[in-house]
Order: sequence, then structure tokens, then C-alpha cells
Amino acid sequence: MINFEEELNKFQPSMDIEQTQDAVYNNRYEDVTDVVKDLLKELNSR
Amino acid sequence: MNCPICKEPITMQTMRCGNCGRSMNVYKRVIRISNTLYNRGLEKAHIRDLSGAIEDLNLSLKYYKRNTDARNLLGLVYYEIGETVMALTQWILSKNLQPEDNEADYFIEAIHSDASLDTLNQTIKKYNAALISARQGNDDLAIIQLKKVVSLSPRFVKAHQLLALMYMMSGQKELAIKVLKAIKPVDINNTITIRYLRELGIKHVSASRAPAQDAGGGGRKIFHGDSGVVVKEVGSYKTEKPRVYPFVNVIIGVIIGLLVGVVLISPTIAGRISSDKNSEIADYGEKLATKDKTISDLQYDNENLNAQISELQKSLEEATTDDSLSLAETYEKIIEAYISYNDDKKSEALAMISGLDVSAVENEAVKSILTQIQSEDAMTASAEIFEKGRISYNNGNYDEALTYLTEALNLNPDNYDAMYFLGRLYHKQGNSKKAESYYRQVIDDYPDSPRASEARSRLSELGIDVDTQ
Repeated sequence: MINFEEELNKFQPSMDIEQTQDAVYNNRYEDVTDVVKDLLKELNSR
Repeated sequence: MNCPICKEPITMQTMRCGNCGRSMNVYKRVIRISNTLYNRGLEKAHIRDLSGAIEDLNLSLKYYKRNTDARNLLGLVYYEIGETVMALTQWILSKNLQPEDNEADYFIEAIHSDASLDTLNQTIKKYNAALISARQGNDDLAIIQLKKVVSLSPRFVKAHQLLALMYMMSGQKELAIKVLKAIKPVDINNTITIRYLRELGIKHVSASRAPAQDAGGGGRKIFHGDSGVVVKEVGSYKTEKPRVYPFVNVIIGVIIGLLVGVVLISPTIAGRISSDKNSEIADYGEKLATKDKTISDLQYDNENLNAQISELQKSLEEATTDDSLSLAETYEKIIEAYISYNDDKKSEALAMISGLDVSAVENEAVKSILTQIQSEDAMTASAEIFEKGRISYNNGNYDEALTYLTEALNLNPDNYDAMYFLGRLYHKQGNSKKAESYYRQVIDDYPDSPRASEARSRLSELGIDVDTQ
């Protein structure tokens, strides 16, 4: 049985045009290659 | 691909960096995993499992954020489900990470040149407003706003799902099913859509993975990694272009067809039209000539008829003005006179033929009748007719009296009695001039007659002196 309130809370507002800039600037996450890079650098420094 | 340490270019086949000499095994393995996830996402996008594609592509980017094709494809998938701004964000990030030779340029340019970008943005704002309304318990307002949103953006999956949820909660199951079925083809394996439909009693049919074979059977390069896993090289995916090129080819074909039509067929058509027109002109010329001849014939007939009409009118006028009787009428009068003569009305018979023009009569029998009637004593006839005129006068029948008296005088111009009574008649009718004329004729021409003295006394009654003229 669907719980309306729970389902409703799962819906999140969509980004509009004004939020594009923030989304771009806040998207500077690290990926796995960054971790590998750091590991390689660390190994090299030893 | 570059070495993560010294940034020198390396290839997937290189085990170590040619510049710094570091091992690239782990680094390349991570990139291969990212590529594998991209390929899986691409396959899912092909079969329209867009939710699955988003999951794989996001994971691919977590392994290797510079996987440009994965990012561009993620943007495209977001665009397809109506998340335009999220799509734009991915393409801008892609462009930042790989400024050169990036298909994101095309997408960004396309979305900016698309006049509907503002509409899409407004649609997103309306969706957000509807979500707030729903959370505040304004279900009816939320439904109205969401209906507007889905009509403006028919592929906006999230908006459809929220609208379906609102319908479900308000007990409008049929409408909820309709909304969910409308959006299901866009993202066939969307878990929310499937769950809602199941709740509404609609069974989900799993998407076929057959199209995945197409994804691997294309012209895409395949290379083998260290683990022996077949990995497709990340290349330009065929999500959008196949839709564009056939369309362009069709347009080009149509244009070529039109040009061939214009160059080859048009002159023939023009010639045929010209020939038809010439033929029509010739036909019209013939018809015109025929009409001219008809007109001239009719004009000739018209002139003849007019001449005949004028002749007939002339004859009619002559006939109208001619008082003389025709020969037939003359014969008719003579026969009537002969009948009266045989009835012993000799004076009437004589009167009938007295003014008749008998010069045209040639028949001998008729001539003998005329002679027989005319032989009677005109004076006797005149006396008889005078007597009738006098009786009519005494009885006050003046018109009848005038006729008899005039006939009597015609038969016998010396009948002074008739002359006198004509004077009396006009005297009675107030015509003094004519009365005086007849009285004077009696006095002047027959001074010794008994009627002369009576005429004198009548003139005196009129106030006229006999001696004055």
C-alpha cells in the first residue's frame, strides 16, 4: 500500500535555469582516478 | 588520455608512462570500469531504460569524471526525461573538463537556440510550485498545476508521476493509470512508475534486452583489457545522430526530387499547357468566326424584316386612312340593297347604293341589279325618307332624324322640306350657324316655296335679319 506522505517526500524540486551555475560550481567532486593519482603520488614520494 | 602525474599523453595499450615511467595499470583499470559502465548506460538508454542509464552513467562518472561521452549521454538522458537544467549542467561540466572536440558544444548551442528553453524553465517552476501545493495539502491546486505542466512537457517523467500520485490519493485511479501509461514509454524501467502501476493493478512487462545486441554490433571499436573483458571504446554514441541523418537524407532526397521535377518535368508540362492553350485559342477563334457569321446573317435578316415591317406599316396607314370600301364590301352593300329592294323597301335600297363607288364593279349580273335599283325615282325615295325623318324629329329622335333627312337631301338635292327640317333640327340643338345655313338655302334657292316664309320667321327667332348676309 502506498503511503502518500512518504511518496510525496520522495519527490524533490527540479533545478531551474537560475540554479545551473551553482550546480556547475558545486560539482567539483573527486572521482576514483583522483584517488589513484594521489596514491601514485604518495608511492612516488616514498 | 594523459598520465595523471606528468600529464603526458598515454594510450590504453601503454603499461607505463613513457615520460615519468610510472605504472598505469591501476589507473587504466579504473578508466576501463568507467567505460564499461558507460557502455552499459548506453545500452540501457537504447532500450529506453533511462533510470538504469542514469544510474550507470553517474557511476561511470564517479570512476572517471572526465569520461566526456558518459557525461554528454547523461545530459541527453536527463533532457529526455524533462530535466532540462540537469542536462544543461552536465553538458557545461563536460565542456569545462574537455574544451576541445566536445559534442557538448552542439547540445548547449541547440538548447540555447531552442525557443522553448524559457517554456521548459517555466514548466520546471510550475512543477516546483505544484509540489509545494501538494505538500501544503492543496491537492486540487496541485492537480491543476501538474496538468498544465504535463501538457507543456509531455516527457517530464517526475511531473507525470506526481500527478499520478495525486490522482491515486484522490481516488481517480483511471486517470492515474492514463498518466502513468503516457509516460511509461519514455522511461520503461522507472521503478516509481512500475510501482504505482502495480499498485493500480497493472502488471509490468520487463524490457527486452535485444536492442543491446545492436549497441554492440555497430561500427564501434572494441578492445580487450587486461582482464579479458571485452570493452567497447568510448565513442560517439548513436542516440541522437541516427534520428537526424535519416531526416536530413529525406530532406535532401525531396529537394533533389523537386529539382528533377522542375528541370525535367516542368518544361513538358509547360509545353502541354501551352499546346492546350493554343488549341483552345484556335477553338475560340473558330467559334468567334461562326458567331460573326451568325451575327451578320441575323443583321441581314433584321434589315429585311425591318423593311417588311415598314412596308406593312405603310400599307396599314394607307388602309387606315382610306375610307373607300373594298370590292367585297361594295358587293356586300349591293346585295343588302337588293334584298331591301325585293322587300319593297325601294327607297332604302336606293339610299344604300346612293353613296357607293361602283366604278370597280365589273360583274354583269351585279351591274344589272344596280341599274334596276337606280331606275327608281330618287325623288319618291327622297320623299319617303324625308317623311321618316320628320316623324323622328317630331318624336324628339334627333339623331335618327338627322340621318333620314340627310339621306333624303342626298337623294334629292331639291328636297327643300328636308332642307328646312335640317335647319329646324340644328336650331333645336342650338347650332345656330348650321341652322341659319339651311334656312338661308331654302329662302335663297326656293323663295316661292311654302317653306321659305317659315324659314324667314325661324331666322327672325334666331335674331338674324334675312337681308343681312
